[in-house]
Amino acid sequence: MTTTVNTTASATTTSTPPKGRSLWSDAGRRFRGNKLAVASVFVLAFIVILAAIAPLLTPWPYDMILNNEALFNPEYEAFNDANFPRAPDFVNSLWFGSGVNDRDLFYRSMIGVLISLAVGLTASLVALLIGVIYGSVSGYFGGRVDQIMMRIVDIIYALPFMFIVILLMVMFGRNFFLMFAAIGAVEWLTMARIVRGQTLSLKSREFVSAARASGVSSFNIIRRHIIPNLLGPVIVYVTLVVPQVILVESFLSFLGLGVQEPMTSLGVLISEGAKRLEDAPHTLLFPASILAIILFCLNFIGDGLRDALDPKDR
Amino acid sequence: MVRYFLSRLLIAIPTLLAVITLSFFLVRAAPGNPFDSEKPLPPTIRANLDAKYGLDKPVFEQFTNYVGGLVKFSKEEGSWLPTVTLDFGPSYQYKDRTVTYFIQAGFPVSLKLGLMAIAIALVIGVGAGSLAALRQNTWMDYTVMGFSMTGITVPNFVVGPILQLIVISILSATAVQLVPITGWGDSWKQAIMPVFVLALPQIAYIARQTRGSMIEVLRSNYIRTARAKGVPERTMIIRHALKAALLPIVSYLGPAVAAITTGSVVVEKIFRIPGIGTHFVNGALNRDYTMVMGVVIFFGALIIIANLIVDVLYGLLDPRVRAA
Amino acid sequence: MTNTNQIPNSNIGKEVVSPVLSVKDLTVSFRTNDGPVSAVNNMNFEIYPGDTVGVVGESGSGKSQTFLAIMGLLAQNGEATGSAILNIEGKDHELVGMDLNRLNKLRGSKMSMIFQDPMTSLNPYLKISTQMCEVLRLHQGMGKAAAQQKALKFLDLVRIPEAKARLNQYPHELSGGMRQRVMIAMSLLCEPALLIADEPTTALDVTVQAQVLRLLHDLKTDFNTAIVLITHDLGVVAGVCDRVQVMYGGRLAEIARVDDIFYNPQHPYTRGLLESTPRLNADGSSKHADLPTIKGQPPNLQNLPAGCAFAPRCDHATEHCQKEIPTLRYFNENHAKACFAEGFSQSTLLHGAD
Repeated sequence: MTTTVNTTASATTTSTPPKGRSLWSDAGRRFRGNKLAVASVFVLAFIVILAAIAPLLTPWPYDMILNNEALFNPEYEAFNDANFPRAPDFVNSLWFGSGVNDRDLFYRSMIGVLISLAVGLTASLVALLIGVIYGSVSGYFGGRVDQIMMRIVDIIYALPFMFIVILLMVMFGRNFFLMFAAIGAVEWLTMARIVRGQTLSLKSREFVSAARASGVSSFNIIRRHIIPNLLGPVIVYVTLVVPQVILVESFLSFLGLGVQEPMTSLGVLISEGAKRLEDAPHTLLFPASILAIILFCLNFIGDGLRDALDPKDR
Repeated sequence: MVRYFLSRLLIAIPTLLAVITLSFFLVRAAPGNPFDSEKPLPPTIRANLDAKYGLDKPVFEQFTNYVGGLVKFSKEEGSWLPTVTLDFGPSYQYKDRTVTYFIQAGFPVSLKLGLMAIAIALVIGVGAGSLAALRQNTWMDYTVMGFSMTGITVPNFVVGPILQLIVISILSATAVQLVPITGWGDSWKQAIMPVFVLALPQIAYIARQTRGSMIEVLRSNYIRTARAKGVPERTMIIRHALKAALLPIVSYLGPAVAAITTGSVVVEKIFRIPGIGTHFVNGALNRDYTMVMGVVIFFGALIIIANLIVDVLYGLLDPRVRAA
Repeated sequence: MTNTNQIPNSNIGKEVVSPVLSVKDLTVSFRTNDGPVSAVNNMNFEIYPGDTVGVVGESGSGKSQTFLAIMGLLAQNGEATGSAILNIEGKDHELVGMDLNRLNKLRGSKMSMIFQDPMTSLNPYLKISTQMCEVLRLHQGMGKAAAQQKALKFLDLVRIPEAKARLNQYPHELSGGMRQRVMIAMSLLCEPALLIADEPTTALDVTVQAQVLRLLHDLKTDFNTAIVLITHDLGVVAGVCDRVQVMYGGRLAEIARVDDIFYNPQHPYTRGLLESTPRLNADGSSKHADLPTIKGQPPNLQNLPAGCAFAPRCDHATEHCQKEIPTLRYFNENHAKACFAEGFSQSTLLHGAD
């Protein structure tokens, strides 16, 4: 086995021209070679753009209850019957029909997309920030500091975190900010472990020692050697955290503990749709498939980045 | 082995204490009074209620009272094992019931659901994962991996309702009800859907994990040695590869218990199952503080104990840890 | 490529013995993402009972892959063609393309192999006794007690102290040298006709290396087992081998008796190898201030030159060498080389035999 690796390795190294290729252009090339990941980028971009320009695509305000409006406003005559949720209706520009409360489902789904992504990105950035600082401090100082800091991480890690988050949401109301904080405060743990491990191993690597021995300043060592080597795993982890956070947000919203009316999120819409799946399955299918597609795309992109940035992991 | 177990215990105990303390003080730190929910109560009644629930005492005393009352040991005549009772105090919402009453009522249901889900996840996950590893890069492999990608990506609160929708559509099209889509306890068939939905993400994780570690093990030097010894493929997989490939699965069982406990909350809601999860969600929506706190502590302890058991199991299985 | 060489019987002075392993036109190639890579090309050689043959070459020369192919242990993307015949008690077994069930009856019983890394070659989850007895129960249908007895005997044979206690231990409780001894004992349990040792001492401490080599040498006489010793270390070869095969770029460069390899090497690559081996004089000073090295890089297996693979690095290369691949030719009964150059006389070696 070892010798197989040797043969193929020596074969590939000698077959490539001696011209150096940077880590990043190499990674970019590998990522572009991953068709699933590239397609996911396009699909995700399409959904995000659609969500961003949703107000232009529908005449109905996101919080307007169509049937209520019809009682007062003759313009909305079409919605006079109380027979909702309405099926998709292209004549009235109700692309996805109306939801359980007779609001425009398309607009609301798109708002759900934006909220999911906003929560996902913000909480991931919170996790990134805390995790990188905590992990690098722990790894850099090492020794007893490292031991204590990592023991704390171990303990928090073992907490049944979903229940703590729910407890938080119950106690302090369904506050948007709290949700970011609660989710971010949990997801940083893995990040801290990854960063710590990387810092520890980088600190003692030959190329760092070599740089130090040849008089490169600490700042330049960190800039040229530590950060580029840290960046790969960190980026990969962040892309894998985003869908996880989205899942948590929609989980809470599904239970009724997340985003509140008249705001909405995909989790809320799915929960509402699930109650009406017998007579109005579209109220479930639209938000559910959008959430599934977003999660698929993010996972494929994350996997693609991991393969591209960390080829030895394949 | 003893040292290893002690080091695990050293994490479990502070974690459990952290869960209890955190939940308790979070609840106490919450703005407002639990009885203020609808309309403000007359001061005298409030004072009475506060006195009844011990809320007039200093917070620290409340905490020691709560922790002290959590676990009670009593010894009955004729039995030499003490009976352990858990006391999470009264429910704030249902004034004549205790939290322990709801947990007692819901736990057998949730436990049954959870155990079935874990069992099924293990059997299907390990089977499918090994198959995919042994038939690497064939249609079988791709099917298993595609399925598990779906299971990991699509959350069970999407899978559940969609499966219900499919069963309903088949019912309206052919008048055949494949499986019941809600309820619990009237027929074993009612368990099929919720157990499957709850197990699905775990099947997916375990299949993926098994495949990965199996492939790694099959490439290892000691498998090459077994081949060089002329060990037939079947024996090689069962005797030499499976144990090493399953060790990561054993250590995954801890997180799996946590995930299944969390998932059961959603699944019980979707399929209207009277487990702890349902009481928990109701408690959360009605701001029944003691109920939420009690369930968090109960589930927390459950997860921590499960992790401890898994760690010990791992230690028993791996001779390198066992010797340490 | 035409096969013009005729391989004479090397066992001079003995009665005619048929080889235990005859390899003809063996070729091993791997499918990789960057296209096929041929690791071994048209190997032809024979191994006789009781012989110890050293196979020398740098990593990537195909020395391990040749024998992994013979054992049927190639990685999944590897494929062997040609022929490798194992002769057991007058019966020929074609190993290339052999069906797995039949192959498993030979592996571990008639031919066995030990590997470079003893730390990972034993199953960490099974006791030593389980791993050893498995071989006996499988190939000789022994009961548990009998198998234990024999395993114990063999552990004693490879000079493992407190063998009885070792049987009940797990590999991680043993040192590297001990594990390699266990591997050797395990490979000899069924008294195989052929034992392939793939860099058995590379991962071990220098003192332990000598012990293990000594052990292999002694055991050969006990069992009349033919041993193939794959190594990149000429020092190892000098100590224990009868004959040496030098490989370069997936082909045989030279086959000779061990003395001839050291005192009368005929292939420029062999000469380069010898010259780049550091030596000490009796007074402890090294003979040459600068150790000569073979210039250039090892060949790219994916894109081998049209002619001799060594030509780009060879001082004696002519235009002929660039165009045609030299075949392995015997120029006396025991000595063959794959080179167009005239023979070298002994004195032309930079530092002659000491």
